[in-house]
Amino acid sequence: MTLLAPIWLIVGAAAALGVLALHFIARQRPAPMTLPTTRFIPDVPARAASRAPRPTDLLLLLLRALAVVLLGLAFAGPIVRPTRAPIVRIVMLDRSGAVAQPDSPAVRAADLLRDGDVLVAFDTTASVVEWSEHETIPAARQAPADLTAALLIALGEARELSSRADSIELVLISPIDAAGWSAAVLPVRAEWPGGIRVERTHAGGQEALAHRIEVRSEADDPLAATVALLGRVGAGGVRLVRDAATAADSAWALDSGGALVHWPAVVRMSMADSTSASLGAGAVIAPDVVAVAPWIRGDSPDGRPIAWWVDGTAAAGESPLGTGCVREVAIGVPAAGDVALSTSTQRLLHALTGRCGAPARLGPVADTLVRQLAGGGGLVSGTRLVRAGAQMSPATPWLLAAGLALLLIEWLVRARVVRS
Amino acid sequence: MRRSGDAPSLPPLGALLDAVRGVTWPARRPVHRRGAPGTHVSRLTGASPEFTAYRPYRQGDDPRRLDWKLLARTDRAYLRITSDRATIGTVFVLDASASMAFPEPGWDKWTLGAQLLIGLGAVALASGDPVGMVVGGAPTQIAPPRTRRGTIAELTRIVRETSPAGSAPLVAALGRVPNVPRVVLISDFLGDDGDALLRAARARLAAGDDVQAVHVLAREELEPPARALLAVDPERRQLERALGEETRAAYLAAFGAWRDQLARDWRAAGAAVHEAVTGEDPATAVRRIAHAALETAVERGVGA
Repeated sequence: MTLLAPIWLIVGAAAALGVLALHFIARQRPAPMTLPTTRFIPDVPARAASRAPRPTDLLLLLLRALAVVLLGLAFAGPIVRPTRAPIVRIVMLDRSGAVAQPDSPAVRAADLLRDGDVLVAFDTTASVVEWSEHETIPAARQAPADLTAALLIALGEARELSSRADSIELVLISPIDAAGWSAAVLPVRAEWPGGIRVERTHAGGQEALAHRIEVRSEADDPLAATVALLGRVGAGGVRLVRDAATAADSAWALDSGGALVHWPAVVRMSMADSTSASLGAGAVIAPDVVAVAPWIRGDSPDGRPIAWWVDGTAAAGESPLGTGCVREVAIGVPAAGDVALSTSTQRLLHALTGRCGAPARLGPVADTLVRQLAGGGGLVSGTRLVRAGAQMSPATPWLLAAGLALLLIEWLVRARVVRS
Repeated sequence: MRRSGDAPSLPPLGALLDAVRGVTWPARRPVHRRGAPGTHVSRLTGASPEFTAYRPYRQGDDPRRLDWKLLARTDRAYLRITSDRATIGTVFVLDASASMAFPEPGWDKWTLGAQLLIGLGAVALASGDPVGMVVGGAPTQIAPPRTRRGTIAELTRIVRETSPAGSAPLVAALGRVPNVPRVVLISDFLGDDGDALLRAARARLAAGDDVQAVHVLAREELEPPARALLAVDPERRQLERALGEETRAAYLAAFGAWRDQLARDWRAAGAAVHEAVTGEDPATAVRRIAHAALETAVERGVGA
C-alpha cells in the first residue's frame, strides 16, 4: 500500500498527539467532591485548569484521536497498487507520408517496445496501442504528420501510466518534417518535465512524391524553369497547368486527391492593377513568403484565398474538388527577365503547390528546434506526473465517512458526559 | 437527620468501653445543686462523713449540725463542716446534620462523634452521673438523663438508628436539653446557627452549667486532596467551589482562622473546647477531654 500524499498522514498523527496533549492539560471542570468546609474556599470560577497525571476521558480521547487519524489517512489517499514497472516507454512513431522508408522506423519501434509499453502511431491522427507481443504496428499512410497531436496523446498516456510505472520515457521516431511541425509543438513539449529521446529518420518517400509537380506548359515557360530549379519535376501530387484546365485535369484532381494548380501563362491585367501600374512592382504574400516582383495582377480568383496582394485582395484561391483541390492563381509572371528564377519566386511557387488544405512546407526542421524538442533531462518519475487532486484513492470517501461518523459519535458522547 | 438502612454501621464499642474504664471526668467547677450523692465536689457543705473543718455556730445555723460531742467537751458550740459530693447530670447534644456524614462512605465524623458520646457517657455513668442525649435534627431524638444500667445501650441504639442528614439548626437541639449541670456539644459547628448556638451556650454558662464543645474535624477537611476538585457543600448543594493549587492555601488559611476564632469565642464564653480529628483513637480523645476537665478542676482548687 502506498500513499498519494503522505504528508496528510503526518498531519493527522500530529493532530492526534495534540488531542492527547489537550487531554492532559485541558481546562476542565474538576471532579466534584462533597466537602462540608466548602465555604472557606475562595470563590473563583469552578472551571479550572488541571494537569491530570493520566489522560482524562479515555473514550473521548480515543474517538478524537481515531477521527483525526482517519481524516488524515483519507487525505493521504492510501492506494493498493500492483507491482510497478521500473520503466514504461511511450514510443511516438511517425507513420505519415513524410517518412522515406516506413518499414525501418517500424522495426526500430518494435525493438524498443516491450510488453506494457505504449505505441502512439501518428500522422494527422494518432492511434494508441498498448504494446504486447501480439500487437502490430499500424501501416503508414499518405497523410501528413501532426507532431502536436502526437505529443498531446503521449502526454495523456504518460499521466495514465504514472500509477503503474516508476519512470516513463518518451521516444519520438520521426523525420520531424516541417510539414508536421507547428508553432504549438514546443509549448506542448514544455508540458513534459523530462527529456524526449528523438530518433530522427530519413525524410522523403510518399510525401515528397506527393509534392512532385507535373507541369503542362510551353517549352519556354518561366515557371517550368522554376519547377525544374526546385527539383520537383515529375508526376506526383501536383499538376501545374499553364494553359486552360481541362475536364481531365479536374478528374485527375477529383480522383487522385492531388492539387490542380491553374496558373495561366497569360494573365489579363485587372482594372485595379491598371490604376496602380505606375508602381512598377507588386508584392504577393503567401504563407512563409513575401515575393516582390513586377507581377502582373489578374482578376481575383474564386475559392479560399491562399495568397494575397499587398492590399489584401486575393492573388490565389483554392476550391476543394473531391479529395483534391483546384487552385486558381492570378499572378502573371513576366516572361522577360529572371524573375522566375529568383528565390522569392521559387518560394512563392513552393507555397502555392503544397498539398490541398494547407500550405506546402517541406524539408526537415532545423536542428535547433529538434534539440529544443528533445530537451534536457532523462526519464520522468511517475509520481511527478500526478497532479494534486488529480488522483483520488478509492478508500478516501470511506475513510472520510468513518472519520466524520467518529466525530458525530464523539459529539454525542461529549454531550452525555456534560449532562452527567 | 434521617433513618437510614444503608448507613455505615457503628464499629463495635466493646474495645472503646474497655479502654475508658477507670477514667474519671470530674466537673470543672463545684456542683452548685444538690442532688444525689455522687463523686463530684459540691459547692454546698453537707452531712457527708468526709470532715473538712469546724466553724463557730452562728445564729440561724441548723442546730442539727452542731458537733455535740465537742460542745460537751469544751462547752463551745461549733458546727462540723463536711464537703458535699454530688452527681452531675450530663446531656450530650450530637450534631446529626449532613456535614457530619463526611467523608463518605464511612461517615468518619459521625462515627467519631458517636464514639465520643458513648465513651464519655460511659465514663460519666461510671461516676454515677445521669447521662442523656439529644440528637440534633428533624425530628430531634431525646434520651433523658438516667443512671440505670442499659443507658449506654439505649444511647447506642439511638445513634445506630440515626443517619446524619439535612441542616437542622443545632441550637434547637440545645434548647431541648433538660436542666442538667453539664452539657456536651459534639458537632462540627458548620451550621448556619453558629451565633445563636453560642448565645444559647452563654445562657447556660451564665446559669452555672458546664458547657463543653467537642469540635469534630475530618482529616480531609484539614488536608484536602492535592488534586483539583470541585467542592460541594453537602448542606447547600448549590455552593460549589473549585479547590486547586491556587485556592488550596487560601482555603487552609481561612479554615484555620475560623477554627481559631470559634475556639476563642467559646472559651471566652466559659465553655471548654476540644478538637477531635477523624482517624485518632476515640478512647484517646475521651481521655484527653476528661483530663482537660481534671486539669481545670485542679486549677480551680476543686479537686477530684
